[in-house]
Amino acid sequence: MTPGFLHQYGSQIATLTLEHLWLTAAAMFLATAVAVPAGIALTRAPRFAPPVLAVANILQTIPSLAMFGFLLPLPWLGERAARIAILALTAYALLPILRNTWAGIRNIDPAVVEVAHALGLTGRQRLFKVELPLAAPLILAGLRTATVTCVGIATIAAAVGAGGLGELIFRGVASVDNRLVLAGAIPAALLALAADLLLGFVERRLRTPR
Amino acid sequence: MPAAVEFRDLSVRSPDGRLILDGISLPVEAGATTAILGRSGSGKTTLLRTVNRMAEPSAGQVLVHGRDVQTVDPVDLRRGIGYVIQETGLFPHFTVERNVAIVPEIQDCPRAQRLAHARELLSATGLEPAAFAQRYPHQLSGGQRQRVGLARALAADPDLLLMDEPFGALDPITRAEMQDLLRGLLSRFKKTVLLVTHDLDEALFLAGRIVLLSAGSLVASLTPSEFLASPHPEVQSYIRAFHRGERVTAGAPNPQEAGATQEAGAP
Repeated sequence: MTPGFLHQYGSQIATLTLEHLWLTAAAMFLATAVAVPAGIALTRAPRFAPPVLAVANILQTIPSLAMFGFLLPLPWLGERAARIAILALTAYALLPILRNTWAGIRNIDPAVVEVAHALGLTGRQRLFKVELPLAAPLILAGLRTATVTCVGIATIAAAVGAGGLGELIFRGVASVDNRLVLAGAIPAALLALAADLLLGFVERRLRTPR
Repeated sequence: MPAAVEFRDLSVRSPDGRLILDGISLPVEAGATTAILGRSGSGKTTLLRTVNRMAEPSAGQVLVHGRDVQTVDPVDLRRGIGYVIQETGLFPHFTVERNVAIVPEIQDCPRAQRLAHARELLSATGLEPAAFAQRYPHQLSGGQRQRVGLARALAADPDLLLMDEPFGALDPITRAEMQDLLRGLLSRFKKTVLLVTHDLDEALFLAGRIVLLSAGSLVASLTPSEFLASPHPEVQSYIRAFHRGERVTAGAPNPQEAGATQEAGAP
């Protein structure tokens, strides 16, 4: 990549990177807001866990291009490509967060939960003082997997016109210009790496000594 | 003294309908230690757990300070009762002092006050606060963890303590130290204690009354000297089994020692 190329496309790369970040962040926010409470709810009503996890699993297996296509004709959503992209990314992020929240709470030493009951912690106190802190490393690991997946899948969002770094990649492929492909792919990879490192760091900080 | 806890014709069934406790009636004297002895599966832990509603009766009643526990909110009930179990009950993500002060914490006692009290209790249980308050449970030995467990049970200053095999996981020397410590603490703070154990020596050393359960039924409720002198065959068999060094927790008699027992057991 020459300085001339960067001069020509630099500001576009920056804009698209921000767009990419926004799509991912919005989707992660929505997915966390849904999947963490849902995961907690599943630990309270365990018989619903298998079907709910199965649905999240199926969502995960829909090819991303097909998912964007499915959502396109929907009213309101279809009006803006970013809405479709965020919803699709949210769907992909649900499973890792949901599964890890559920497993993180279920894996807590039963003796610890038992003592929390016996000492007279209310359900809410048990959740916030014991269960969530002890499950936090696993929940964070789920967030991390989901974020990295989202950063990758967000490149496909350009196919429905939602922007993001995928736009450069699609344009590069169409015009057989590898420089454009790389201009999209390299920042996307760096974003994924940065998210992975940052969340990995937080996860290690949260890990309780035992 | 009035009964601090009273079991009235108490029966408990497991979720699959098996009878775990069968018609237990027993008053528990206030301000004294009552040991509940029995082999594994005799229902002694379940009996203890009915007191703080960790197990629910299928028939009969449990009264704590004269009130049927079924009429008391479980959260309020449990906060007023100290609870110590075998080793594993500390919160791994809390420091020692926060573990000790957890019951005052969930009752919104001011932080400075509850931590100061936690440090006093650590001293009382033989843990130097300056060295131990900030540690995490995994940095302690088994005996130290059990001291923290004791301090935690005392933190809300309950009248009643429930202890389920509190020293069962400790080596014999540490166990003896902990029994000494507990006896000292109980002579200092007057508490009603229900102590589940299968260790006859521990029961004799700590308790003013020994209750023996067998297969969910009450066999005997006697003072230590009455217990040792009791002609009741089940009491005799328990004492013999214990002194033979048989693992009474295993339940099944050791066939190789069965012959020797009968001779040794004769008075």
